[in-house]
Amino acid sequence: MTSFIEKLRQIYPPERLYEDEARLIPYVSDGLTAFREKPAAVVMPLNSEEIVETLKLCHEHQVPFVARGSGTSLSGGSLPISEGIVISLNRLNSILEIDPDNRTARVQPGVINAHLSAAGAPHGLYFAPDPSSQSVCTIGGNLAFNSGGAHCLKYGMTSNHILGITAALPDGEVVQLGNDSLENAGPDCVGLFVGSEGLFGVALEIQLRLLPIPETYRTMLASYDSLEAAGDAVAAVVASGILPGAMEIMDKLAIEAAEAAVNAGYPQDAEALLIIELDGEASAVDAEFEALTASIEKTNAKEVRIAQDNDERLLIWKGRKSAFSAVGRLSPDYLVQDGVVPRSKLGEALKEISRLGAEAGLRVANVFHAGDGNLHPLILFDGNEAGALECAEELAGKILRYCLKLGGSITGEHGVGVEKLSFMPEMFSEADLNAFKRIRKAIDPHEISNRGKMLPGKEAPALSHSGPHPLEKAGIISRM
Amino acid sequence: MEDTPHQPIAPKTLDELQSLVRENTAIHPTAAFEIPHSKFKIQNSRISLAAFNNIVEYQPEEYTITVEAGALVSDIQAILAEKNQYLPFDPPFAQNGATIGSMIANGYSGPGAYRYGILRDFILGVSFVDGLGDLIKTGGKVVKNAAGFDIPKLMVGSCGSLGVITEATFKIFPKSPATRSIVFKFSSFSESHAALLKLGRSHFTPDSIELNTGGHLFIRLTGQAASMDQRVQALESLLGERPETQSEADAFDSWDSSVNLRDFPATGILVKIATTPTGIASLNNAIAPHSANLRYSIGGFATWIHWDNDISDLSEILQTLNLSAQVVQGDTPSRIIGITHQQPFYQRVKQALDPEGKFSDPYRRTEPRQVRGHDRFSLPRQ
Repeated sequence: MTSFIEKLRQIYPPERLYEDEARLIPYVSDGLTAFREKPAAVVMPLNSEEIVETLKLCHEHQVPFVARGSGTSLSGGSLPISEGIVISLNRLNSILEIDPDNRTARVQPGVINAHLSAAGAPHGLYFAPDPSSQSVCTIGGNLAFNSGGAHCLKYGMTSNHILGITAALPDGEVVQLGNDSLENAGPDCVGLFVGSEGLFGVALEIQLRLLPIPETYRTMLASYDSLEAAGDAVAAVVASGILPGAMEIMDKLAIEAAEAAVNAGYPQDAEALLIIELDGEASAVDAEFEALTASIEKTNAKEVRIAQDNDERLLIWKGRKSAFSAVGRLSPDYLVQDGVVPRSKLGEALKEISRLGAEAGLRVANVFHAGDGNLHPLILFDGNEAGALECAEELAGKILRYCLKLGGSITGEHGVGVEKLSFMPEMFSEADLNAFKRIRKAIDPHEISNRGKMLPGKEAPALSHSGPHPLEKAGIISRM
Repeated sequence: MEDTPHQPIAPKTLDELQSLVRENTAIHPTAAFEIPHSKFKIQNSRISLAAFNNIVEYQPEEYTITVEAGALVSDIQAILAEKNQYLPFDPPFAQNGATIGSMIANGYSGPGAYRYGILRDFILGVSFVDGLGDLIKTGGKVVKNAAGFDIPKLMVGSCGSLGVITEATFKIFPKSPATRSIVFKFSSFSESHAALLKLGRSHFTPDSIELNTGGHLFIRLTGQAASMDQRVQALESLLGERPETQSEADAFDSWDSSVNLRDFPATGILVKIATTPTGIASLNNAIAPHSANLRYSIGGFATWIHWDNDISDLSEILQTLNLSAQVVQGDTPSRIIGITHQQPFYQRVKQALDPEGKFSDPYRRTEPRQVRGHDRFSLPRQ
């Protein structure tokens, strides 16, 4: 390790190579603050050449590395490794090109999601994936974890908007995947790279698809007496042939929290709130809006409100997007999961979540992407109470298992990270996991790139959701 | 079960298929490469997935469908249409008998992919038998899933080179209540190309855009019936040209012809080129002296070309223009031509999923290894 660090010093000046405790502290955890680990060092490359040199060095010395952007992962995707380094990509934040004729952009991995849309705006373009953390999260992180957002129903996830990648593989070999077209020639290697949770190396340059900013939006709020009624409304809208840009549901607890945080003007007497947004050409949206109104009229909504201007629209979304952090007002701690269930089983899943929550004696707030069955149960607990975290984790595990039982997935958009490692063998067979591991080994023979994420293995014991993490027991990592 | 040159072996169960892969050195799934009854049919296929033609799961309210790889795309489209649903990426060659497996392996997307994305944007899950004979299930059956490597996407365009696809799950969409097809008839390709770029810079969201080399710009709008007249007028004022509105019958025929490349010659090589709206101008100029048929699909992001000359000539032209392309029909030494910069990464993945090289490699300029004698097959003969 000493000779490795010495070689790092030849690449990076001291102001871009952090070794002292004080400067390492901000990197010990990401959005999943329950886990912390201090890396041996943090480097801040300024260009692709420095990244490639760093990876070659890591490969040669078999030192694991974690490449990260703003560290907003909710699954521990950028949790450092104590004997490894963190490669911070925030300074590679240039938008290299915006091509309005082809509606594409070429960016470095550290570009912030919302900055890309801002840069596209003068050309009438924007980047569609809109995770709630879009004001701080980076495109590189979005790519690594195939981030979603509220508008996936119509526009898909990050993967659907990445056309080409220049990447440094974990041994430093630079490869080019995809191109600048929507179409591919040959296997879709870009598709494989996106969402690989950093296991395939570092994306150096990313070619993205931009979409025309919709000419108009119509945003509707409908309140209901029950979550089931709101869920039925979603089914009715989809069945009518309308494809809204977004359909989100919040339950009473989430409404209260969002209201207390940002005063979004949500109805306070509702058990469930449905947000539906239409977007597109004005005349098309006008006609769709009539059809939507007709659909919603049949759904026994308590109250229906329409955003009258862009400020009202933004306020509605501010409430929804702040719901996670707002829950912090209701409880000192919370855990959030992002399991997916088949859309028609949403009602059943929510009922079971409520039953499991009551059984565990814990409150659960629900905010979810209803159009695509992507749940976000926020499990509230007080970390100061002995055993409360374990109890919350156990409940989270039960919810994920129930998602699998209904034919769904353990994660819709947050990724497996370290958090859901133990659920991978429940979703995939041994043969499936072996195939994943063979691919990983072919690309990263020393398994140094974001080691311990996504694939359970001997180097990273699976997280236990009913007690301390095996690494915690060994005294290697700790929780906040 | 005979192994004659034109009679592929047709395993009836997954076990049989896995044994076939385990016990043979060269595997060539027909569902991955061949459009049965196609005028572009190729001759060196070996395994047929005809027995794998079931719908595994279809609940219309879920907006997903899981089907076996040997199922005909046209059958699936018909079943979806009964519930007013469809595959938005408009898979080509459905009328020629394309199977779900061939659609994935060749990466078939048609004009409708302009609005919401190509096949890779709608594939959610894939099961396949890898080169070790293991049955691998990846992705999921729900519309959103971020667990594990996204192998379903990798399989799109893989030419059957990473495994024998047995089953796939797709996201599907509700059909819009109304469609309107219009044609802008410009006097030259350069005028229609300029109109395409103007359209690309606008906020208009047509469902499909296609160009031919003769200056015709085909546009299909979908949505609510009440909005159509206004939307057509808005397009007319943007492009400063009055379009021709097609009757329902003409529109159906025109798009069907376009999706299935009906006006292309029956013999020769068919190639799909990954292009850009701006880039097709140079491609059009470069191909002009060669009198090949061209069709610019997906708003200029995919170009179909029928090539009757030496394939290496086309590959050279594409390299000059920095373009990659995939031979989807016709016997050529390699399936990926032009720029092949993905190859080093692909080879690593190939090594992982097919370590013994049982499936032919689309980048290699060699013929796939052929199984010569049927005595190497372990399946009971019929």
